[in-house]
Amino acid sequence: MTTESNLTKRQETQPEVTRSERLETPPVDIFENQNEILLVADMPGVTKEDLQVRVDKGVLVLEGKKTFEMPKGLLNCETEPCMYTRSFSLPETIDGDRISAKLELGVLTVHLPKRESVKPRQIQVTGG
Amino acid sequence: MLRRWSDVWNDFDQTLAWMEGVRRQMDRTFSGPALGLDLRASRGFPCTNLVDEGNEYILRAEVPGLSEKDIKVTVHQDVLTLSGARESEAPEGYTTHRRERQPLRFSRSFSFPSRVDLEKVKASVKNGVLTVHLAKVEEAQPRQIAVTTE
Repeated sequence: MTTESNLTKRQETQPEVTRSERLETPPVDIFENQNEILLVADMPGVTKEDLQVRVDKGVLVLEGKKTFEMPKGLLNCETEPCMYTRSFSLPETIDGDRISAKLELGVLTVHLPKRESVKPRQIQVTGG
Repeated sequence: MLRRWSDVWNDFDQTLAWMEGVRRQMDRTFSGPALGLDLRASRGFPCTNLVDEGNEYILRAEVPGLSEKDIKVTVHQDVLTLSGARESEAPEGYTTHRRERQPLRFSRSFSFPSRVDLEKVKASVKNGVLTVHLAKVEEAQPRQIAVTTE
């Protein structure tokens, strides 16, 4: 909910925390149809227990922790344990209470249903 | 204030030198080589880590969204190839706003520092991470030599 006052008076609600882990931005696909917005994010190596999806003051926050062993004898290293994190501000049209999320094969799918009031509606025309 | 051209150039040089210093500092801070190795420049899809465990190699590849049916693992003449494709179409009836998840089709090959036993290659996938165990051939495995006194 990006109202004007929100944009101009942005308050730091949380003090900055220093993290030892790396932060990574997961790649995301966004789709939309009449009923919902669909968000798909790649988070390989994240388990359901280490994943957090929350809505805070109209902002959808995705946080997934990827942990795995990093032994000494690495011959090739392209990924490291990290925290996947990304946030999106939700439009007013999204019904925050009915958001659902699913994690499958390291891919997070979030369904963001639209409010009934903004869905297209067919108006019945009656003859006089 | 009168200044000679050479002074101006001097200032310019100093500024450039300072910028170069900052750039180096940034490089050190943000992309410090992982464990003394920095091969991330060769990054492709899937992202992989390769570990030498002594008697076997373990390859860890991140393949989000792929099940065991979608990944093809082939070994041919000591070269391991991972290939596959993932769904490229937007879900039925949806319009697309943003596409960042790449790529849709991939193939990546790996060769190893020593020979591997092709019969003992094992691969499994979990939570979008593919793990391949490649046992080394007997001759390539580390061996303890007993030391005797005379």
